[in-house]
Amino acid sequence: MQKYVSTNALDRVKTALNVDKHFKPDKFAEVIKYEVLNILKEYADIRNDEFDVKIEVNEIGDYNINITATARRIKIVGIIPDKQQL
Amino acid sequence: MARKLVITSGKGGVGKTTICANLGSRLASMKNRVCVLDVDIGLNNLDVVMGVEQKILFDIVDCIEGRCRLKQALIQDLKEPYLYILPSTQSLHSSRITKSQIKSIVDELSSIFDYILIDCPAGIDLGFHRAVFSASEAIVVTTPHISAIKDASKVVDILSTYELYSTKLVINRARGDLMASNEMLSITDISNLFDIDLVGVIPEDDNISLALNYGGAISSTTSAGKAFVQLAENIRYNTNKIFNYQKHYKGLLGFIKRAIKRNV
Repeated sequence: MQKYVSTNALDRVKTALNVDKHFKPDKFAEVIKYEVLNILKEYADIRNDEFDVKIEVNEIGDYNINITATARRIKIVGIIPDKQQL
Repeated sequence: MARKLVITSGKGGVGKTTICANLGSRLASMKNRVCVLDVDIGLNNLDVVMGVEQKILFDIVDCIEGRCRLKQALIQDLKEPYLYILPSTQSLHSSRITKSQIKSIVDELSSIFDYILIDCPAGIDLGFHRAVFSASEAIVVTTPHISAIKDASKVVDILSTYELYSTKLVINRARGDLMASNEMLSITDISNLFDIDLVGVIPEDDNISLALNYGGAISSTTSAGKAFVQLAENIRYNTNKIFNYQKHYKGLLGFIKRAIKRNV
């Protein structure tokens, strides 16, 4: 049986909306949070519950990305020696 | 205190400005003091749709920058004595206007009027946020087309981050003939895609194009005009009665009308 034009349109719009849902701002913040936390953990002891990322739109339409973190300890970062020292 | 409603959509060309002007006109005809506010700075259209473009002396940016008092910039509608418009500016240097400045204008208006309808620009950037920041309620406009629905859905998501009293849906340009023959997404299908209440359906009507050419609201005796009356009553009384947009396209006579409309 041939599909109605409206049924076909409904299928298409549902697909489009599902794709959009994966790009919600709160999920975007979660992605940034995960990436930044992984980098910061290389340098400091940070617990997941003491780390947050918030994205807000400011007065002139730019995005403010606020990252707050509390570190228990800063790790001692090793220095890569020059080739001549090796 | 006035009810402050922002008319928004995301996508351009879905009829935000037309709905703002006609909803304002119908609410004013019910003896409510209504101000329609154009915050599409640089691309002002509401004054043209309402047919008052020749009466503009001052605009919203003049008010914000102190070149006039708010009441000096308000323009009374040509037909409805309870309806006023605060026009936007043609100046393209709009980025200096902040959402707090727009809010202070809206707050000042709210002591004078019963309803403030804010005509939001298309898109979801600065202009959108400037418009929504001042509002306490939102009306999201879509058409039965996939691109408009997609953008409206995104706007509803963004609106959920604001502390709005309510967000409601209006479906514009509904084609009763195409919906009756399952050639266009039905109102029920569209409504089910959103988590917000449907508050109005405005049918596609050539009289809207005619009204736009003359300037001013559409006559309340036309199909779209009756739908605007119903929409205004729904807003006024917080009801959800939907105008019967398919009435003329049901039954044998409706089938003939649909066939004629398709072949014209």
